[in-house]
Amino acid sequence: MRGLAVLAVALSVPATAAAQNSVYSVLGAGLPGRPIGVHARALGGGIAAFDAASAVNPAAVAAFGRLNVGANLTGAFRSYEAGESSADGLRQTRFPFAYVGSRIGRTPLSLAVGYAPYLDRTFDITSSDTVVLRGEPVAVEDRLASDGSSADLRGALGLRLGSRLQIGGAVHIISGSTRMEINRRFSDSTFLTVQDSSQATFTAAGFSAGAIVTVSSRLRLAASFRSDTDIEETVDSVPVADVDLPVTLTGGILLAPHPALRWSATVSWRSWSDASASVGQNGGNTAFDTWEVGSGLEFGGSDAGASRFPLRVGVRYAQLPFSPTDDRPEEWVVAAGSAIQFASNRALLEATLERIFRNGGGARERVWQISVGLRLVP
Amino acid sequence: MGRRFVWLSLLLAALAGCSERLTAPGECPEFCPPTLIDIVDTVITGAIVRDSSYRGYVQARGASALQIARQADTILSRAVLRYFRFPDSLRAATADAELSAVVSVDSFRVRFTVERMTDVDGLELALYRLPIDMDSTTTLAEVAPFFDDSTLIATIPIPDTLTTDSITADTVAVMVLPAAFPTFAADTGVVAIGVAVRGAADAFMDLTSAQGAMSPVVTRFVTVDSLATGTEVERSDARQPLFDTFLFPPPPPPVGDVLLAGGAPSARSLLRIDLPAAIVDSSEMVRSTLIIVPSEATLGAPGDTFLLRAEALSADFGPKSPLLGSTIEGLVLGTTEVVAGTMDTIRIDVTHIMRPWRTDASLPRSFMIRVVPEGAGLGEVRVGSTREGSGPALHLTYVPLVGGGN
Repeated sequence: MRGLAVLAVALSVPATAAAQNSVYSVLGAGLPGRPIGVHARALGGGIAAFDAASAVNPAAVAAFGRLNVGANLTGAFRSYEAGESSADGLRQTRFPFAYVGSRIGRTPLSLAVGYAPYLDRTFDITSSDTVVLRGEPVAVEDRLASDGSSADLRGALGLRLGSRLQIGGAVHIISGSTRMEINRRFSDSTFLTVQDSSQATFTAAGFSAGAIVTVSSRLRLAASFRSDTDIEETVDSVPVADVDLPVTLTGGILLAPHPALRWSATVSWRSWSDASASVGQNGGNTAFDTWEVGSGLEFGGSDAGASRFPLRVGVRYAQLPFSPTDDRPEEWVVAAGSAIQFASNRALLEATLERIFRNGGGARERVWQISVGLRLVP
Repeated sequence: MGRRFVWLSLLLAALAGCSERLTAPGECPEFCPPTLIDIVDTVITGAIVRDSSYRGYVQARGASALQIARQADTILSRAVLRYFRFPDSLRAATADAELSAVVSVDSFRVRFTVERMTDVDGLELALYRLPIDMDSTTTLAEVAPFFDDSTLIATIPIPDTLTTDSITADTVAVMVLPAAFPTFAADTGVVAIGVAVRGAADAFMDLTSAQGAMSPVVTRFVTVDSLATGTEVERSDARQPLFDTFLFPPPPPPVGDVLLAGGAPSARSLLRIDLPAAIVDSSEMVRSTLIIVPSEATLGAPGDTFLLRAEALSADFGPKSPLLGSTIEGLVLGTTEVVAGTMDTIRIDVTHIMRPWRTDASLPRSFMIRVVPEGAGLGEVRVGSTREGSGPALHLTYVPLVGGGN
């Protein structure tokens, strides 16, 4: 009963409460989110392909035994430079990730449902310009704001086949909305201010499949595949865009040379260039296929019996899919984190600090990001 | 354990409670959304359909002002006023229950409130004695002979400091002897006055009428035989006009099937608008201007300027359509000043009329064009109609809304 209550709380978090925003969120279909938990974030995403608390590989769900419930809270502090513009002191808090998973009875099957960020479309931009109206130049000040994202709602089923193989499959419903507001003020007061708001909704579906092989007690390998349909954007019920979503191929390796030391790495490739036609048509942006590589080391932890507080460090490199130029933006992340168990080891609080560097396409962005996650095993 | 949990809770609370700050300058167009704010600036000539003019809303005798004018040494327009009857007895004291007979009339004071909108100096009002049998059927020809030196009863100099190019009202008055109204007794205490403007140049002046804020008044100063004390006391009483109007030669008839606004009796023009839904329903109006090109020189007193206004309707019942009422912005922006005797293009800002059409489908998509105040002057605009293929146009500046403004 208590587990059901926790489940209800976890899933009551709105699906639109998603990842942090970025100066790159305004480009193309948005900034791709990272469907990983706080643990994986601390490891640069290196363990994502094996992590049941991340939504990368559905085979990882097979690791769930008892009921698990988890949710993340993320705070980002951001600054950027783009061309002549710069901003700092930007901050935002989000609940980007939550899940609940459990083994189904005494079967080798495990089930997990949850949501993760897919594409972030949050921005709030002011700009100035001069337009010629009725033969006269008129200064204007614009504010374009969009708050929201599309979230990846996943239902995953994992199966243990013996002690060395886990397989899994998942269905994904990508859904979300953004509330857009536009405001234009004119320096000439005879031109009235324009204010408008609209609701954009996003809908798509997909599936994923994966496997994790335990080669030995010190080596595990993982692979997954994901494919999604086009994501349809409607504004106030009027279809306005149809963006091809990428195929994602992921591979991972996990080495544990010592029970208290684990190294993991995950590599993903996404065919975002499929979206070139649609994002080029709607925004003049360029779309690129992207590579993402994350790697991390984890020392200790109560599971390893070495220390109560694991030390996690990681680094991640990712290419961003959309750019206003032919220059493909990149992202480097350096992360560190730890965790603490309490409530008779039924609760795990994790924390990760990330320093994110994004460059390319004419912009440069720096982010400090703090993620806190709570896992409960009721 | 408890202390640890408190610290963890505080950390979560600090993150969750962190205020957001998202607004930042954008680097457009590279890091801005594509064409979210597009602005269109266009002149549409065929948007006005089924335009009509109607006359008779406000008669000169019901207007708030009486316009008097002269042009080329002749009287162009003159005011005539018949006042309420003065009684032949008054109370000698306020507490008296009985009326006392008026023994003698000592003098009269004739007072007007003047609005002058001209820079011509040296003007004066000329007051003439008129027969008292005037009413709404009285014609210019019937009263014109009385605007003569033989019936002149007084002149009132108008201070040159009284206004220049803006509406400013002031009161002028003159004392006249009883001889000014030799038939006062025979006329049973009724006086009638004609008023014209005199000066060295073409000029005009507006007198506030009985329907205006400051009515013309004739004050009578008399001697009353006091019943209580048996002595004579001086008293006064005042009368406003029972009837007032201004008379002028009929203007030349309009040429062709044109739209009219102004004059006396006042005319209005009803313009119905037919715009594409993409503009009126799915766009935010930033500025809209009604462009009127007079088909002939605007009528009016020499040197006069008058106000032409476009107003929204609360319902479209044709000529009897009720006006929606002007907002404060409408008073400023929905009205424009027109110079008499010119053919300058007239532009009226109708943004505040058209902008609500998108969100309130019940509003008639029509304007009523009229001169304000109505019936109070000679000013009249004549504009080509759609039937003549030369109706007014609309200059629209609008922003198509995302999602069509649903």
